[in-house]
Amino acid sequence: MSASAEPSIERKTYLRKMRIHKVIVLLTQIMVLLAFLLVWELAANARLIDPFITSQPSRVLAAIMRLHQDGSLYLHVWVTVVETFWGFILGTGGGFFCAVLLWWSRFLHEISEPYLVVLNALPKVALGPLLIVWLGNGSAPIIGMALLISIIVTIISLVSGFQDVDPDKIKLLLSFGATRPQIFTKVVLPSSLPTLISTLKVSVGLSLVGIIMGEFLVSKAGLGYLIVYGSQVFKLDLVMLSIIILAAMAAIIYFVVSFFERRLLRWQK
Amino acid sequence: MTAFQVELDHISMTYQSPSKETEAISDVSLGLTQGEFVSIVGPSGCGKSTLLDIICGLVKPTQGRVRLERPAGYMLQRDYLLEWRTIRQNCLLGPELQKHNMKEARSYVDHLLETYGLGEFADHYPRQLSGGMRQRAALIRTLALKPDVLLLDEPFSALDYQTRLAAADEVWSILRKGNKTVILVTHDIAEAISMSDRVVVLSARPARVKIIYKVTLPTADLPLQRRQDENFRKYFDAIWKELDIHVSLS
Repeated sequence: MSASAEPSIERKTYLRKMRIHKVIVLLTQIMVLLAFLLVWELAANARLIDPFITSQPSRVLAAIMRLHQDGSLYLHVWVTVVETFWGFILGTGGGFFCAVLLWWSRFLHEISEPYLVVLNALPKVALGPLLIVWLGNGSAPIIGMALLISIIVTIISLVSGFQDVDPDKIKLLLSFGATRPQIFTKVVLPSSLPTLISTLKVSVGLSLVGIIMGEFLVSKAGLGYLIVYGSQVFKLDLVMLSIIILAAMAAIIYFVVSFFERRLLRWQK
Repeated sequence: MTAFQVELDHISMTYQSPSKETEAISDVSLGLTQGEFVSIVGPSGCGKSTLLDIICGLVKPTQGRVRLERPAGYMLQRDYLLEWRTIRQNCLLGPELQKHNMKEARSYVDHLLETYGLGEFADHYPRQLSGGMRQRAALIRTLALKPDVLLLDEPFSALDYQTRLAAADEVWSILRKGNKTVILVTHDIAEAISMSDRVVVLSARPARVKIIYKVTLPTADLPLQRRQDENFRKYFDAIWKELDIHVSLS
């Protein structure tokens, strides 16, 4: 806890070594990416691979510029982002609500258990055609798909997180005469914060999966649409471009979630 | 009725489970006057902790009643400080849950923390404190509601031996100074004798009161000093015999 005035020489050497190691790892990670892009580009130029079916970085870049100029790049990204946002909010919000309900009532939990197990194992894509029939061909079935994919996992992992709370901590609160809502807000919820965050990480990823799957099935815009369209007209540049943007989105989501994780779990340090 | 501050009136407890019925406690009666320190010892698994749960009102006895003027404070085997709350916030848990005036509670808790040497740690998180300090914080959390009666369920069992002796002295002094009525459940005979006015020996399950020893060691002495008393050994041997613990060498 106490910070000494002057760290020893050994300590300094150790810290410098750690810093250098970190920099080397980061540089190597970047080099791997650059090398991959370079080999891809050169191999396509040398006709070792056919750029018609594999595309190549320069073509992808050109495609991005083209879509940037006619503005459709932002339309597709925006559509996917908005749909993912709603899928995530509804899936996580609904999942959280159901999980609280199942924690509250043991009876309800016992009743729902077999249904949850079966629904969890069911491939949700199979419900795609039904969603289109029921919800039309706008954004609704796409968001519905994301919701279905993320909500069951969210419920299952949150309920088990809630029930994992040390019963003696609950006993402590009961000895102070705590009510059930107080037990939930003062102990159960804060103790399951790590579970909550890891569930969010999973469900935000699953929402994106659901949105792309939904867009494959029925859509007029979005990155999933662009992938399907690109493959149908054999413009692989479009497909690759969409995949790269999706990767970038996944990276942004990861950083946002880990930012919240660090903020919320400060007491663990 | 009587001058007892806590009174157990023919308490019996039977547990039901799918495979069997377990009689945990059978007809236990006990009365404590104000400021009395009573320890309960007994073979492990005899239902000592269940008895405390019943006195605290967490478990309803199958038969009998508990008479208590105000809810008792309960101290569990481990400190169970909530890791995400600072020491002060942990100590304020009781008043917060019972929706007391938080300003008053806060100044009282700050006073307790200051008095018992945790003042400078009020804004620390539990993981930054040593085992003994954590146990003291847990005691302050219990005292924050100003209970007349305290129930201690092996409160030192998670501590190492040295810390344990020191913590027993600390807790004992704090409770004596506050003239609290205390029921301590422990499996440590020496701890029971060194801290108590009376030691209640329970039988194996179902728990009955086997015998009650009145300890007449100097009451002004700290538990650690009482352990040095020449009569200490006598009580120890007598209770050890009562507990009838068989050590098999095979």
